[in-house]
Amino acid sequence: MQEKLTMGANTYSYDFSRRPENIERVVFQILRTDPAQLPACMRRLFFRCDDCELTDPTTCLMARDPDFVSYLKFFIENELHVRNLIRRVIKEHGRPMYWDIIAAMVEHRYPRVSKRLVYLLLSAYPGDFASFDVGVYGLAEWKDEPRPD
Amino acid sequence: MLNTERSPEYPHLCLKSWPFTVVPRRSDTPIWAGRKHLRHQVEQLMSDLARRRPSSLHLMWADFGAGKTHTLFYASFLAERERMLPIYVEWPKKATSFVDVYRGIASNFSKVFLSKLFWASCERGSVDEVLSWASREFADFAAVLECLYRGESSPLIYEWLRAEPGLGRRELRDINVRNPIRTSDDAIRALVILVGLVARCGDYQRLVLMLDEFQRIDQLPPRIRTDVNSGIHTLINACPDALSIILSFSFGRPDNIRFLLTEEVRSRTDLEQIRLPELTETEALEFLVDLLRYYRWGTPPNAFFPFTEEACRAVLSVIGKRTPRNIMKHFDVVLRRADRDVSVGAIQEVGAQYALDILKAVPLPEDSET
Repeated sequence: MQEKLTMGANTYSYDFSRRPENIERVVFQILRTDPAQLPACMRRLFFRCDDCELTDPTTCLMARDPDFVSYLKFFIENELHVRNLIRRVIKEHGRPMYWDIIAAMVEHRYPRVSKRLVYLLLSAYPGDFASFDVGVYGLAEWKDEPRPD
Repeated sequence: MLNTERSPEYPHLCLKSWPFTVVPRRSDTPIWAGRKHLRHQVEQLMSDLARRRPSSLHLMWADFGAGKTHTLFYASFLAERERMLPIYVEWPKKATSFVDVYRGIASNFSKVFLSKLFWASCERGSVDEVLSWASREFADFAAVLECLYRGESSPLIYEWLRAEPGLGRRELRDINVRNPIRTSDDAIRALVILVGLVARCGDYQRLVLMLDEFQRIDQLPPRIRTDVNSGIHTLINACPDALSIILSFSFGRPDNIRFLLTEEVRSRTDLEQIRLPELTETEALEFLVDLLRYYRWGTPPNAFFPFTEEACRAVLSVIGKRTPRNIMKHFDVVLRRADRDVSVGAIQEVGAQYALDILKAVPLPEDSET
């Protein structure tokens, strides 16, 4: 069943009853834009599908497939972990950098994180990372304060 | 430069002039406060460079506001004293190739200075010898040197040397050169000649090139970073003698330098790095005493005057990151108020509570130097 979710200026159409890849796409969009709107099954260990405001639990693929829920939760945790790693690396450096240097720094300290994922997350979390020039990223809070050159 | 003959500006504070300046001053006799180990390291380095000929590449890392530029100015002063030619260049905010670095370096050379360098290098050999060597390295540069030899004083010579854009075919013909300095290769070849002239003349031991704010390279795309790195290692390769390059970086972690330099450059750097981390409390107190001593006038009741030692410790305790700049910013705020209060006799000296009350009343950022 096609449903709509509005987050900020964007409205997303989704259908949690079929096509896992679409569910995954929408869940990650919600995570990156407004994680408070994630369904309870993605945020908590214990939850009641009956309380879900996003979809009908009787048709929801996630409600029917606990493994799929675990799979999504694992990747959400992983993404948030990598996002925090990137934040830490940029904060320790103390100034915005070209994205490939950020990726190299993250990869050097945490070899399992790919450069591609770092680039994806730098542009996917506007609340955490901001672009200061073409390809140059820093922490979003630095936008509002003077930084050393 | 401070004039010791001048009457003191703040006799009530036992100071001849204001001690806290956030931006480093370039003077003939630079101040050095605190960090005795670093001072020794820099003096040792400059002394070592003056005693040998091989080229070298050095790295300097500093925390934000830790005194990197001031240290370079001090190194520059020592280099001049040791008969070396220091060139300080602040890294351009928007470099597009090694040519931009070259422009910064070349802007330090006036036409008169270059003429002197050329004639000084000719004194050791013949003019023909110098010109034929220059011609082998870079024919256009040799043509410019020939212009200097003939005593021509066209401003085009200087414009060409500074790689200024906009020189047309006709202007180039006027000074007998074929092309402007346009590519990184041209810039490197021009620098090789400059270093060569320094090496040949008897006036200088070597050219010490200080590239400040080199961390700005971290905001350039990989293609430009590679070009700049390649320029540096090609220049060092082409000048086995009489050249030292100091690259200075300012960011949170010294080990991040490795991500900004290519393997070729890293492998050529000196093993001993110059590092300026934040100061410990003891180092910060030593820094303050040295700084105040430099500006001292008369005989103060204690080394920290107009502060008490407790006041200094109290101010240091509220500073997040104890870098010289941050320390001076905080003490500057306190001293501005104390200056008025001491002059009208409201207080005799700055006590701990007085200092803390002033800092409490000022909306200071949580950590202004992180």
